[in-house]
Amino acid sequence: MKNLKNSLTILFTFLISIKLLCQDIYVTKASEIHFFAGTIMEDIDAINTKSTSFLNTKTGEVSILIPNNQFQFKRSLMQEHFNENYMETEKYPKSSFKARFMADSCDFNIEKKCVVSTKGTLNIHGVTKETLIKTSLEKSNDLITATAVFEIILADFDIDRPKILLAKLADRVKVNIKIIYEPYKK
Amino acid sequence: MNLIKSKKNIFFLLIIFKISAVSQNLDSLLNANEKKIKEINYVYATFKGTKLINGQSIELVAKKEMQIMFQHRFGPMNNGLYDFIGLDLATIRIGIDYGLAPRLNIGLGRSTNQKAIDGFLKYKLSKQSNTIPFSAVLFTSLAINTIKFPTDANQHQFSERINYCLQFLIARKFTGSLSMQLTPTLIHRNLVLKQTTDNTIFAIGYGIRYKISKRIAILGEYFLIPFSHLDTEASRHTLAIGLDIDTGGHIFQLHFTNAEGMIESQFIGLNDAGIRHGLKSIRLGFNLNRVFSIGKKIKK
Repeated sequence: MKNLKNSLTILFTFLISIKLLCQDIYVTKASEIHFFAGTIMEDIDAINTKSTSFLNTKTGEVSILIPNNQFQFKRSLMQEHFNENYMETEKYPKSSFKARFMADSCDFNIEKKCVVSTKGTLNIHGVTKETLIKTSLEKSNDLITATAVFEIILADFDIDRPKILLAKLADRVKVNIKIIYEPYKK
Repeated sequence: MNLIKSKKNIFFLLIIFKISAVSQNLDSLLNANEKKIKEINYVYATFKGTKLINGQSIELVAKKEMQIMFQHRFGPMNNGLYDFIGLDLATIRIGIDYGLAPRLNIGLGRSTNQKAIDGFLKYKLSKQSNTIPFSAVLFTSLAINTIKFPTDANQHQFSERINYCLQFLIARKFTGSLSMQLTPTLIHRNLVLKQTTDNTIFAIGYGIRYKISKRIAILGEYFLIPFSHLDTEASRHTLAIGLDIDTGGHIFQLHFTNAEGMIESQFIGLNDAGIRHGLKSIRLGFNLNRVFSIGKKIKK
């Protein structure tokens, strides 16, 4: 009898903990990934709103998956070149970022803006690289808004710049990420 | 003892289970989520130009974008150095393609050959994607020859100047580097030279593009007239092979072809436009495209 009681308690705590666990996981409600690779000569920028991301506030893990062919350019020819010649989206359909917050984690019980360093692997164009991105997180009501601004160097990810376009295409790409998370429901 | 052990076991099991749930991999969540999303992914760049070489390709210019195309065909190469392998002579077509709607293009062109003005409509019926296996385009054009009527005893009418073309283009990008196109074509010429020549002819076109590097592709195009009656001089075969060079802003197409005309009703089965038998009509040519955006705003 005692045995059964114990087992039940364990099971019960377990079920509760499952419930709590789910509350720690957040999923994208909306996302906006914008990059600018232009120079004074030419505006080369695109926006992608089709990314998905999961955030675990307890472990500080974050994972983002970006469909490369969903970047919208203002000129269709640029978009075609991006897909055909630079990102080679047929070969490399997705970019990803898998990371963990470093020691300075946020307290998500308080509705206050906090800045964390996220360290992890960034995979673009088939190349994986260790990357550190400063991310600011803000919780309001049930939503968490994450924003990050960083730069990537095209050469790091084996993305060629043709000599003829050196003046138009920058060697560093500025990336803006904004993701709004909502609690994940199974 | 046994009971305690089993209890321990359960406990361990639960702990392990719990741990696996904690690190419930965000990746697996992402992957599961991926499967739910059903995005339509359209295929890009089946061909680079709106024209394969002589004929149309299934590519359209985007809405509110205008393409200017310069097409050049030099003279036949068989006169050798006297004509500088044909470079002394040139036939030109200057054309504009404009995107009226995402799937509809309108175009206008002017050719040296027969001083023709051509207008066309191009409508994309289907776009190749992960759900549709091919792209299809309906193309219709009308060309008016504005060359002066010959001073002879015949009564000439305006309708003699008009030629029509109707094409159904179907293409598929098989791999990242290989695309092919099939083009059944109907051409109607209001005026033909002989009574035995058909006014309406049927032709079938084949096209192929094979990418040899990121920016360079080999192109091939062949139009065959299988059964219609033609002038004896005219050939049933219009052939073109060339290179497609994407310079970033321009598409440069360099090729050899046996056609001088650059409008469908000229380069398919019309001997006035240089489609003759044998090597007599092989010439060098190029197309140069440049796309401009007109009045477009950035979506923000």
